[in-house]
Amino acid sequence: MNLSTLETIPGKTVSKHLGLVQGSSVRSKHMGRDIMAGFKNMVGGELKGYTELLIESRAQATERMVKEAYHLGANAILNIRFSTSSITAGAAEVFAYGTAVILED
Amino acid sequence: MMTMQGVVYFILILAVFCFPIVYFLIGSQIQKHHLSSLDRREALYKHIEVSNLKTVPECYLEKGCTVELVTGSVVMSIDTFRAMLISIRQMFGGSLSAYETIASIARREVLVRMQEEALGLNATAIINVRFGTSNLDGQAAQQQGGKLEFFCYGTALIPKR
Repeated sequence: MNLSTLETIPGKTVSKHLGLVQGSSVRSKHMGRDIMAGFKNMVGGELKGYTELLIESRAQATERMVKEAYHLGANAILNIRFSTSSITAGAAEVFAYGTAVILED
Repeated sequence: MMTMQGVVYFILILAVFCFPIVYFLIGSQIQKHHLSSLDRREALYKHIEVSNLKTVPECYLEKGCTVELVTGSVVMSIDTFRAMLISIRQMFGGSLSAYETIASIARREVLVRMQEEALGLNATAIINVRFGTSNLDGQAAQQQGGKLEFFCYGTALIPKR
């Protein structure tokens, strides 16, 4: 599966558009991590536990998007965009969307 | 003579007024350390060009290349003392420099992390880069003013060997 934020992939042509695919994920960390982050929050700086959370959420959202594209029989997703929003304290919603296409050389 | 209760109150008052200053000092130190590490890593990855243009440069089209999605993200927080100063500053309005500093450090950090990932893939350029920001405090963002998430993503161009 070819993933890209571009509208075209160099050296390849889009033979068929299969429409919009999307994936989203809302995750949180266990309480211990939240408490540790609370302590770290006092002095500022990076909160590694939450950075990890964000990376995991984005990986999961991307995975769900890719799965949807597989079901459509696509071999690439173009023009991918990510967006996030806060749902509740300590949880992140990551939303990924793009256009599933079939690429040919 | 100081009673036991007096001692407890004294410590409590000391805690309330002095701890934020300690946090502030530790926070400043963390920030300084982060900035110097950023300077070092930015110099390390500066040969990977980053742009938000959509078109693939001519030289890559001639030689042929593959593309890959790369991302970078970080969650940053502000120390308690600065958060207090910010709430005072908000009464008068104007620029909140503590947030500005955090935002600029975090944006540099996500770019560096994205470049790091691109370097692992043997990429030489990243195009069509986009940034995003959000907070992790949910509805309580006004009171806590703490955890901000920053991320960016783009398309890494990997030239064919």
